[in-house]
Amino acid sequence: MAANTKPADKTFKFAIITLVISLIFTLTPSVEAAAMATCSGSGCEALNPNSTGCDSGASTLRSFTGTGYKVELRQAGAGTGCNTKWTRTQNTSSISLYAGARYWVHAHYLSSPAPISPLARIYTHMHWPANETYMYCGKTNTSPIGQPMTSPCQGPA
Amino acid sequence: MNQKDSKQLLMLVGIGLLGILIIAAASLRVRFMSARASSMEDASLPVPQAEIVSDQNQLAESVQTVNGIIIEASNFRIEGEYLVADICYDLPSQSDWLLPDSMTVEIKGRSIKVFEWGLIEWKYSADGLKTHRCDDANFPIAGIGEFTEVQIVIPRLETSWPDSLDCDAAQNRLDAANTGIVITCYEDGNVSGPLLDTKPAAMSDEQAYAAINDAFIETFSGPWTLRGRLP
Repeated sequence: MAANTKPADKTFKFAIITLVISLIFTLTPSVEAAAMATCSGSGCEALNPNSTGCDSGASTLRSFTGTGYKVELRQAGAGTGCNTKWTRTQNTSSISLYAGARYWVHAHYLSSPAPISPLARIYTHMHWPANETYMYCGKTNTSPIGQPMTSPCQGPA
Repeated sequence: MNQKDSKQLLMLVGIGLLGILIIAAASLRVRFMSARASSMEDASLPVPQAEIVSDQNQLAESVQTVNGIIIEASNFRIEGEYLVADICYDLPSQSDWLLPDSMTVEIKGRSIKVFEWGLIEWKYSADGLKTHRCDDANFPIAGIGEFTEVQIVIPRLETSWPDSLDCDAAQNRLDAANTGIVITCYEDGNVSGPLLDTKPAAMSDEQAYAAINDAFIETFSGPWTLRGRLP
């Protein structure tokens, strides 16, 4: 009897291990969990969207273009808990240019101290809460851009 | 074999079958996801499968399906110096899909690039996944005179640039396309971007940067051509 039981035990263990591995594989979420941000809610005010991780899964809500630039109003990914918005300006020309971005609330504006390369982006710090929407501004230029910039801007005043 | 052994054997067989079923289900799931990804890649090829289903007598709205993605334009109107249309589109995946800057409207033989567009709403599936996005698109029409018929051309859908650059992945895409382009990436405070290190001598800067741009985003090829008429 002992000789009959041992193979059965082995088979049983094998079946259990197979079952557990299969369950783990099957139940693993297919969508990657949003990366944890290092701030949340009001604690994200005026912080960098990139270094805080609030840019994980971020969306572009609005966008406008001009010669040599593209300006976007960005919103933090829902899974981050940041609930913030910011503006970023991309140099869409094929030469390096100065760039500026502004989210028209408080002191959320920034200009590059030197020309930024083609396709590079400059982005403002974040504003919380995201349900407030303000004008977003940005441009590129061959000379330094003064702040706070007032044009070109889009969105509700 | 006694009755106890038989029961144990039956239990083992049952567990084994359950395991096999779970493995098979998981395998099918992986195949489904791969097939979906593959179909997205395939869809980026310019396969002409467009179907215009709008009522050409009304033209108050226009719908076109290209490679399984439906885009609809409606509510054409003039707001100040802009022609505005509401454009709703299927999302190819859960990425941040957007209308492209290269979107144009053709009016009286002139092609005008979009100036601004923005979110009206997202639509969700029952399980909370984003399935559609609707935007208002604004085209500058100052000085173009009177018109009633317009045609919006959307060459492709594209995802927004990531805020955190995956330079290795972008370089792999450039290599896979045999572009001969080599890039590095930098991040300095609130500025980040790629740097073009080398490119083939025969390639222009514009071509190189267009290739680099596409290496950082996903694209879904059209074009979608949507005709409309002002009320």
